[in-house]
Amino acid sequence: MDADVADAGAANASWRLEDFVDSLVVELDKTRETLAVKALNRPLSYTVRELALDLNIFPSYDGDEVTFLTAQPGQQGASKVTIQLGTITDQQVRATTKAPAAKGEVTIEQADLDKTTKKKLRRIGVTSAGDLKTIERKNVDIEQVEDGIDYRKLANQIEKSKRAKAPPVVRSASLEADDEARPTLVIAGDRLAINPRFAPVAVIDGELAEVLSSSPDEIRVRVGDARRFARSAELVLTVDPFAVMRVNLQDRKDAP
Amino acid sequence: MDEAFRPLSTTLLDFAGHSPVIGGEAWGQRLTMTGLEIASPIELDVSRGADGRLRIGTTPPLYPLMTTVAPVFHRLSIRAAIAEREEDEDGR
Repeated sequence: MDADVADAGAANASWRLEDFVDSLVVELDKTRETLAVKALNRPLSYTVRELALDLNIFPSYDGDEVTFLTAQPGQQGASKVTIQLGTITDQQVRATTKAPAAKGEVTIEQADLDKTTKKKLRRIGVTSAGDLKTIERKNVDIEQVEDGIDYRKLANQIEKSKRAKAPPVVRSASLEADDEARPTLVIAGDRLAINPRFAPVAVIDGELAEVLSSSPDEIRVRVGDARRFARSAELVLTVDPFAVMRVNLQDRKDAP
Repeated sequence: MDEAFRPLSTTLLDFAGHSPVIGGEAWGQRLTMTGLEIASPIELDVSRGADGRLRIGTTPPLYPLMTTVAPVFHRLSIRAAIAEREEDEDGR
């Protein structure tokens, strides 16, 4: 087996319990699949209902996680760990399994958080932004449970990661006249003003400009003097606290 | 994985892959083993593959003799039962 040849240098690797159990489950699944195929042509066959492994191992803790090393021939004084796997019904799977993260939801792994915070969150069972919202809804002071976890700071960091996954996109910018024939800059795009708690702020060449209306696909800004676009003008558009766009605009006389 | 070891699934299939029916015409009767429980000492070789996944190599005790370097025996226990058979489209 080629993979086994590649393994030769990685003999007696240290392992984390969850990695070992994952591999154990894969092996058990392979066994069950093979037995299920055999069962197609045999009136009676076995299925493995339970599996247990008593392991002699040496645990070690590096201050971050516990890993194990399988005892090798000649080694004494190993600890004993028993891993038991049993069959689980569909109903039990539904009752004990958390639904996967919804589309677009930011998981803690994806969020721009430091390793310690991620570890603290995992310890209290928080794996997604949704979990954090559930804790907030139940009015739990998360800092009482885990020191150094500030809900507001976390929520902002997660919101930032979420925005980074779905950034605003500018498709076009055009100058139009409003009802009173005043020049208005119309920025069209995708995912522009998506935060209802924040009104976009526009600055043109360092001057604050009035945002007339905003929606996810269009932002209208009062320009004042349209002649400023004869030369390149810089528009800085803050659509929410986590999305700031800087666009250079110049009037194109030859445009259709 | 050391060549003396083989994947855990292969060992499990050796334990539980045979037919539960014993006997036949030559015996004059048939017996069905409705369950199976095996507990066996095994030697383990845990290595990490190129894909990062752990590979669990197993073997029954390699040497039926006293050896200079004492092997480490772990213990594998399985319980198998006759699979419930779903009827196929032909009702078999």
